[in-house]
Amino acid sequence: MTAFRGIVPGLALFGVVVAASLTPDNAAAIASEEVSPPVALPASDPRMQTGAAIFLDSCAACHNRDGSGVDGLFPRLARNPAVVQEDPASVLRVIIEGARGVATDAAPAARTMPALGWRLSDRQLADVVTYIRNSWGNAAAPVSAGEAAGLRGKIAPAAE
Amino acid sequence: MSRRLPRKDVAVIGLGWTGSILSYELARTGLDVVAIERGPWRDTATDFNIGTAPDELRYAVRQELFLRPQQETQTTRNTLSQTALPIRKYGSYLPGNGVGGGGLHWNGQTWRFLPDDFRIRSHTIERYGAAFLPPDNTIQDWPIGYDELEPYYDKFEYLLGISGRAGNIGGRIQPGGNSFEGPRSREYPTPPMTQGYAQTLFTKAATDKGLHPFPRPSANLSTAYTNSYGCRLGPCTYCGFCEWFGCANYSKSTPQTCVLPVLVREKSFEARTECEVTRVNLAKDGKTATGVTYVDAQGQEWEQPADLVLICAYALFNVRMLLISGIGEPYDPATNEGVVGRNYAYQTGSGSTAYFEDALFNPFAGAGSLGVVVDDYNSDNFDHAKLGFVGGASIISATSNGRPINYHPTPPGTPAWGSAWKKAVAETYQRVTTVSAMGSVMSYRGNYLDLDPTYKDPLGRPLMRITFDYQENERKMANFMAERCDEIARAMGAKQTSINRLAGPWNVTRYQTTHNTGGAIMGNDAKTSVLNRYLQSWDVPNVFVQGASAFPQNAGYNPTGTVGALTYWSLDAIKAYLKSPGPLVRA
Repeated sequence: MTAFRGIVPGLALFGVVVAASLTPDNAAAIASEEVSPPVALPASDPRMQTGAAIFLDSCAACHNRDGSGVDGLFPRLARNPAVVQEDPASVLRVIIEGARGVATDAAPAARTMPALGWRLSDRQLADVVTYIRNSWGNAAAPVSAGEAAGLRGKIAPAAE
Repeated sequence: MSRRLPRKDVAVIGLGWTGSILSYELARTGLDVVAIERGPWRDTATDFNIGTAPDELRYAVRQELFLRPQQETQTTRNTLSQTALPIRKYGSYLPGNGVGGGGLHWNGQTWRFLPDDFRIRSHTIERYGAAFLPPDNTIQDWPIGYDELEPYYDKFEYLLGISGRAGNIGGRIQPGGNSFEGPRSREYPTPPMTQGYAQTLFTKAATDKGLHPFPRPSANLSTAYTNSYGCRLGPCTYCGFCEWFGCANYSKSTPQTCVLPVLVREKSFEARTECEVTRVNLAKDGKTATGVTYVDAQGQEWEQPADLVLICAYALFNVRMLLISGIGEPYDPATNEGVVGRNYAYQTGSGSTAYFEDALFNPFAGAGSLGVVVDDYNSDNFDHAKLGFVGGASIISATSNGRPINYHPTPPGTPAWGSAWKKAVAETYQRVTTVSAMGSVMSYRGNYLDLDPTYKDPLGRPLMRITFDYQENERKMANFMAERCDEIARAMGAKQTSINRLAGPWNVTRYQTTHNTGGAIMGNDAKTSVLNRYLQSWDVPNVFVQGASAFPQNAGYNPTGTVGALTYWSLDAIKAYLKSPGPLVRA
């Protein structure tokens, strides 16, 4: 897991502005035109199977089984750039500690995603994020339990 | 010792549907509004996390969202000659506790009463003669008609985003809707929910019998919806955890999803939770409220002066607040004089449970308001002349839930435990459904509310005493409806049915319905009502009392739609009152 260097604000995810990290490695990847697009993990992958079950249980009521979300309310996860970026920190963080929308005059309701870190182990977090990153047309590198644990450790005080 | 706080323009008692709507509408005009709520603040993501929201043990069995008898309970009896005893475990009805009130834990069935319901006394006399009214009734016409209330029903439905199909738009009957309903100004905000298999069978059976089925109007929304205050709601997932639960995914219309987001943005609004109002204070003349007194969670007593007091608690607690505060003359059933506590009513439930041989009803895929209804036997939509009762019922095929702990119906004759019971539960779970009737309850001299002479709450205030029983009129009606339900259930293809009649005296132990009405009713005559037609106290004009306590008697529907319509109706009157304070109607 990389440190939060070169923070680029402004990526809208789950209705909130989150920080995305740009590391020397992925900055180089963006610069290169020779990188082939990632290929989605097959649904038969055990991590995908576990992730699908967790997604159905904890996420699909709002984001829908096909990741389409609800316009103006629950963010679409399918083909959402914030979901498939190389660094999965944003998605992990939102699942662990939840996220609150910003109320505006035009959209005053400021709906909130609940924190789910308390009920998912590092392995489960990793699998559900891996599933989200590799379903409905998404394709991105799988996430390890170690990465989930690393991020959880960083935000643990806030998630309490 | 009571400590005195700075004056507010408006003090609101209770922060459920009525309290939150009025708080928002008045705060947005710039008034200083404080809402004082006995229970805790409750919000979706923190209190109804999807990982814990469908916890049947916590919410349905242990009743987490409800008032504890230790906080406040009622004593009950069936007749004046009995001694009332306190409810020690809430059963027949479950009063909500906390922000959102009953609007948080409800199923979401959102009805308009029928035009005849508002003038049932006059209508019954016109059609059947005065002798047709039941003995000892105190049935009254409402002081407002359906047409006057229509724009306010519309406002409330568009606040909630109700999913339904209009049956009558501007006098033109619409296919697929309720052909008996009063004219609407427009279609429902969202389309009806997708019905289940039981509703498909019911629709066919009812249609074959010449009845007129239509989808039940629902606050479990069929699609995403942005309401009249700009709050966006999501589509229902049919998870079946509505009644007694908070909704995790913003798809049930509640004060939390529809009003509180805009209310908390108002700078002149303040909510004080876990603060129990103990009384409305009156000036020496007894005709002006000076504010309220409340006790906070630390036991400190505060006086909150206010120019206007809005009593927005649950129906039963509104009445008790009036009695304890000395607003209005308490009702005396011996003389039939006095007003506070009179015309207490409730709701009947009856029907038929239908067992099928090879159906797959999937009861777990349900919602609190999912259902198809016929109104052919509601109100005066049918000829009562030979039936000998007043009133009626909505007849419903519903699939609300198939929850693991409490939902295990078995056919009559099944042992209550053991391997035979387990086998029957497993065999029956998918093969049973109900046809049920939610019926009206008329008002009677002997059904009323007053303060108990013996029992007190922890603050030393007398408990409220409920004297109530179903009368012969209601028994006849409910049992007539049970037969109609059973006919439909058999026509649906049931191999076996069991009829649920209204038998025995009213009993507090078994859950029936939290549709307690009356006790602080609205009317045109100060001698027989607590409130004028604008929900303003006849006796203390700067007090308005919201909620189903204003109903002169109850109709064959859930009350919330009418409660919400009355709130918006009263809001217009409150605004008029603020321009020129005083009685809006001369007594």
